[in-house]
Amino acid sequence: MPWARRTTFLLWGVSVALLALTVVAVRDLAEPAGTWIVGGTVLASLVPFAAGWLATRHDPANWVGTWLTAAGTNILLQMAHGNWADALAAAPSDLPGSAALLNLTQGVWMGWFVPFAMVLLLFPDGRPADRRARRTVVALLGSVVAFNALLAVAPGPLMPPLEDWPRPFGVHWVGYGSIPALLVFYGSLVMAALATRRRYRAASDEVARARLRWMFLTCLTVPATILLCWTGYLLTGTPVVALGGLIAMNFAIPAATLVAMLRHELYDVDRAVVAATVYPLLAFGVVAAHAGLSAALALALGAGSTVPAVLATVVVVVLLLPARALLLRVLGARLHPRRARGVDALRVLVGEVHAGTAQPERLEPVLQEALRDPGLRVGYRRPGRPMPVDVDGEPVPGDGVPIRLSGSDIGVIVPGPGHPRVPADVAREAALLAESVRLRGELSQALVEVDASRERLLRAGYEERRRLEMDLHDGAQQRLVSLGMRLRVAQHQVASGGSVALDPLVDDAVEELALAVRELREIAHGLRPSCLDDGLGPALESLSRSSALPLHVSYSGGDLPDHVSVTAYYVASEGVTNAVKHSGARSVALDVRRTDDGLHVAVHDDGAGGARIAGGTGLAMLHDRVRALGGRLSVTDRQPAGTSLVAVIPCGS
Amino acid sequence: MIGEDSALFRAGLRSLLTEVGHDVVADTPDAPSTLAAVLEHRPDLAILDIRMPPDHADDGARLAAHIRTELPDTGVLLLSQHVESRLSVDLVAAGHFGYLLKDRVLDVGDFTAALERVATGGSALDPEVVARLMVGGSTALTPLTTREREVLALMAEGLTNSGIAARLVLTDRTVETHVSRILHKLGLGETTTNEHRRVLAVLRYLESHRNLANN
Repeated sequence: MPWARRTTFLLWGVSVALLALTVVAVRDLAEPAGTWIVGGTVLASLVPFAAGWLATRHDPANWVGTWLTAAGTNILLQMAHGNWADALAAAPSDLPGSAALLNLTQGVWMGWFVPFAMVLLLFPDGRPADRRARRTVVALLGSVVAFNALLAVAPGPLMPPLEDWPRPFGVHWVGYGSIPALLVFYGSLVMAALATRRRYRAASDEVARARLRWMFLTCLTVPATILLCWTGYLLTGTPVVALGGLIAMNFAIPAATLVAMLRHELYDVDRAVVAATVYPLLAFGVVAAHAGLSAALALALGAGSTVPAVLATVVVVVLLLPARALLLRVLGARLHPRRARGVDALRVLVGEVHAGTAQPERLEPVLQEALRDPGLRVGYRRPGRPMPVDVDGEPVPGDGVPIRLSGSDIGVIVPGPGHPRVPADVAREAALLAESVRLRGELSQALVEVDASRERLLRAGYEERRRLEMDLHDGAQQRLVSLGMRLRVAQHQVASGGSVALDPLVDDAVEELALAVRELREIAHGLRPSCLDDGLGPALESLSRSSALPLHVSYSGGDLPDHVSVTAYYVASEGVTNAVKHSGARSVALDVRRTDDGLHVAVHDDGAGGARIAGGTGLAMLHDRVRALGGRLSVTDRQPAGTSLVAVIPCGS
Repeated sequence: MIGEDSALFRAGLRSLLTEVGHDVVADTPDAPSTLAAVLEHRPDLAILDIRMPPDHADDGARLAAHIRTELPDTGVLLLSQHVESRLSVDLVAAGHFGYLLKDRVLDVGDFTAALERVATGGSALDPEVVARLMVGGSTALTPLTTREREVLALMAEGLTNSGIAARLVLTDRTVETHVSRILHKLGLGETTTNEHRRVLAVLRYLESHRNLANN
């Protein structure tokens, strides 16, 4: 088992022992509130313990987890130490107390800072980054030992509440050496924070940088806590808030460290960093400005009343918003350059798109350049596509930051391999551009479809004309020419003195003419079914009479515009023809009714199913006809058997 | 001999031709049987529908080309429902050949004249086709007078000088004058000796100028 992990287990043991000591001391003090304090503190220590355990389990050889655990142990140590001292101070007490131990642990408060300084020095791999960091580790731990040792012989009283306890090691001027030791300790804390900064600068990998930014956020919680403590002291005059602040720090630092180690990709750390910097600065600025202005105005106006305070408040409030924007921009650009670069580049692009000098499709190359990530892809959600697709319709796989517009996912920005996630602000800024790319894409796709369908309609039109031409030539025309020839023959026979039986000749001729007229009528019917003259309902009835299969017609269409009835009739007759020809159905049901969104024409059969709207088929032709009127056509298999052909044709109000 | 898939038309044409004094040795409904009948009877003239079984495309035209190579002395008259100038001009250029729309049959006099021309080695091109050629080559024909254009059209149809004279109610001599003037104006030289080569030259001339006009 790695030493780091063994030490973690050891710390658990120590913690349990400390808890036991605390319980003993609190019982001796017999304070009713003591139990609650112990319970609350133990709960508070669970956070660093849990963080330490998760980190140790993630990487058993990594000392970061051990030091996080030590932060938990520290809480119990502080509690045990404080309560034991209080119990000893409260006379009479049966508890054993060691004057030597007391003298040697006057710097126990350092325990609040040592674990976190070590985490900063060792993060993320559990080893000091460089020589300076190693020296800082030595200086930190050494100064703790030296400070406590020297303080044990320092002149002056002990820490309250045990000021009167004996000094077994005596008092010696060497004890003043505790002051430089303390300075070394503070210096080591600063060096620990700087170590993170150095590591950040040396990091070549964006992922490592993202993790280190989390650590930066962790560092920021220390001044934030100190600020909180000051405010608490100022407002309440008691150390309660300060203690609360220290405990809060014990929540915040382990949590942030853990996220940095395990889940740095999960949250947008950069926004948090900027906010964590801007708002304390702003708060500090407001307080300082208000105080300064109040004092200056009071001096200038000579009034000790509310006027300067009100004026100062007005000025501060007026300046607050612009100051916030300025701070966010300046600090944002420094602390979070990727976000700033991405957002700026997108704003420029939006301007160019508005001016008509760029297309919104430039979104992807602009982001690639601004974020220095040539492998970055932007995918757009399109209806009917399971995966986001790029501008050319190719799928964009991978995990990325979603682009959202008014709550719905419209796309995704996927970073290239080895690159960090795109800041959420950049995705937000890209939303309108992405939406216009998406709409333009849908539009051009629709145009392509319209073009294709128009071409098919045109071709079908030509094909139909060809068929009609053949029908005319081979039918009526032949018949009429033949009739002409017969009359010529008769004429010749009469002219050359022969005799012609007039009656049969005229009968035959009239019969031929009648046939030709009928053929012409049929051709005209192909152009527009003449049965539609009486309306769609009677036309469908006549379709059912001439159908080879039992055809059940239910019609409630009412009066329809001519183009709607013609198209509906084609859908019905093609559907019925298909059912008869291809499906092997035994019966067909035809249901035509009018609804709010148009005329529904449904042809259901009980045949084999499997019909599809594919190119070149009669169904594709029908689809185009229906689409040309703004309607839609669908073909589905029915359960247990059969096919449904359903068209919805808009027909005005 | 008649090759035509419409039985009605076939029967009508047969009785018409018989009535005006021709012998119809066979009539057949599709391309293979027509070819067999032609090879068997060796008629003076085969009248073929351009569209007939088995392919219902240009079966008749292909059959005509086949007969031309097998029996160069057999006249072939193609009947069509519509105008196809490209195909018709190519075939007519071979001589012993005619191309007419089906309804020309009703104009019995002109129709039989065309039949006889083709049977005796001349050619017959439908006036509709010629009209299209003339329209296409109109710029090349500007030097010609109206009368000369009429004569040129009839030359292109394949009519002989006397045929042209009869159609336009002129004397043979006048027609000869017109013809030589036309040929001179178009730069086609003296080809009057051979009727068929004259048709050929006129068609080639009209064709080439039509192509120029199209480009």
